[in-house]
Amino acid sequence: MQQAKDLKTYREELGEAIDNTFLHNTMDKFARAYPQGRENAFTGLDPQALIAEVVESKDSAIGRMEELYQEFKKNAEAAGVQVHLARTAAEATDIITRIAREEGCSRVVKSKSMTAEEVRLSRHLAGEGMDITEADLGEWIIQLRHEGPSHMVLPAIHLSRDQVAELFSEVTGALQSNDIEKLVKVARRELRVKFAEGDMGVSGANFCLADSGTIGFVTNEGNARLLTTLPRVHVALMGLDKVVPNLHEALKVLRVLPRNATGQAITSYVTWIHGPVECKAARNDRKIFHIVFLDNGRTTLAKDPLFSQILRCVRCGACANVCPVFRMVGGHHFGHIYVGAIGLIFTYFFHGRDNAKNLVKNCINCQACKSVCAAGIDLPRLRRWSRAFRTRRATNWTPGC
Amino acid sequence: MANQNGIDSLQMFTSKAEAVSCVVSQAASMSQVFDYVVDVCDKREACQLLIPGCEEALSQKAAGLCEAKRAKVVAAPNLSKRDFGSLKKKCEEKGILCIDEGMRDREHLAGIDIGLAVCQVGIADTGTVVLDSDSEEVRLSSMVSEVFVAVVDRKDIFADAFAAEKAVNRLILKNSSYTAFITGASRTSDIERVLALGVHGPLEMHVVILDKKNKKAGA
Repeated sequence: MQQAKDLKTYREELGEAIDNTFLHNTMDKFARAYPQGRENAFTGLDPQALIAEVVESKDSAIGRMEELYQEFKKNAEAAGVQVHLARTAAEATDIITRIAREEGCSRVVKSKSMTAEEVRLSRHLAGEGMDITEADLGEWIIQLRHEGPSHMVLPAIHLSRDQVAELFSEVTGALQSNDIEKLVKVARRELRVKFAEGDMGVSGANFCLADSGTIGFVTNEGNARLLTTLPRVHVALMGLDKVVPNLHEALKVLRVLPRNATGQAITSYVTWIHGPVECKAARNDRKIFHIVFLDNGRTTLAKDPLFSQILRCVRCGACANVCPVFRMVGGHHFGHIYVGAIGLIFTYFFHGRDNAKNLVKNCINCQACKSVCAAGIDLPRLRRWSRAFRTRRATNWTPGC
Repeated sequence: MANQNGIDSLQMFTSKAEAVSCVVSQAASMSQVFDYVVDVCDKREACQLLIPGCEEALSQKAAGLCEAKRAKVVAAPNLSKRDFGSLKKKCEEKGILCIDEGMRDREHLAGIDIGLAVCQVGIADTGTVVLDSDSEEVRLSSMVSEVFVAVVDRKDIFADAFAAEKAVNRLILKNSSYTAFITGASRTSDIERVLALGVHGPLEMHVVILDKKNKKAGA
């Protein structure tokens, strides 16, 4: 997480990152591999046409966010879900803490969610004395290291296999080799116990289907399937920007998101949950299911003629993957919580101008991010505006926390 | 249901599923599917019952869960009663425990050999199967199995997700529902971007395409 107080300190930190040979080689290799993977995934398709459909679909949904949220809420509640709306990050963590307390939960298993990062949910629940385990491999690794993610899709990309082996040796109390396949198996066994013992599963969501009150999420590891199945309580947290009218609109995003994120035609798992499902650990064999929406400035953003487009973001991370500055310094120095080009702008709106002031200077206006954005967001233009806001204070905005 | 899938959808499905390391085969009857499952289970680690990962140095707690397993296990919770009986008989002949419930038991949660599920929809252009996972047993058996075998009827394979939309919506729109698109084994690239299979769920995925009109098929 980038939080240097002044530009001088920030520059010193950047210097250290540039001198980190492992980071440099890793980012370099990734920057070279990503465009080819993306191109292969779009073979036979017209990416610009598919992106244009995402733009149209998301813009339409953002334009009636409040209405779609009400429709979602009505349908989800009719199916037996408890739906909450948090105006701020603090409200979101309070709501989730209250749910855990009321349901008597203390062992939380969590899948990857940028919204949970945005509100610092894990830190908050740990502070409330709960035992919280990040179940996504990369997230688990950085949780054990007390770090934040350095990439939206690949949170531990800054770490080497040796560092992970060292970490797992500490965790298991047994010496681990740096064989990646073995390390993954160790994580499989260590985390399986956590799923079995967890009493509350926390997930995010990529889609909320208003016409039925269904949530949908994409994963590769499958941890979210286990943690929405075994624990008796499920809490899903997501931004208001995730509401779309129906499955059809979600499928338009799904066609672009995995291809743009990881060069996959689709992720290993795409899960759709509608209402409280069977759960044999719960009373009456029914899952206790809460959905928490986060506003944190999104309702105001949705009405902004210029900046509303950032709510189109599908969190694929492509804008970081192609950024020459990200390639040089890595995510920990190129974002507060959200990284990459979109992170520069999100930080401004969700985490305040102080946290964004150094970051926005990183853009060299090469337009690479704009050309790959899954949602056609004009990132360089917005970055220039948010920088102008910072210097001239020419804004009516009251950024988030 | 208007489903104009011909040979193209079948070929597309097979090549896309194979591209994500699925083992794809065809069968003309459920009986052939069961022979295939028993065969895969029988050949797996013939000399040991060890659960993947349990050979590694683990914390005491994680190692404790490894000790739970006692026999080779096939779980098939969404078959018809008759089909389950037929699979169970074939399994028992090979000394394999065949179950259709009890996945939450500690000994099964630790890991079973094969999860078998009949899927409702196939999506050709991504090599995806869609599984009605409302039942907790179905969710768990398709996740804690080391090998997941999905059966999908050839007539239920659609060209793409949009063509399958109505069929998927029928699953989702039930009063409460859990619907899974599954495309290959559980995977991660979280350590140095190196692909590793089976981080949480199956290490292998097999798809058997059921085509009752194809007498020549043999899985």
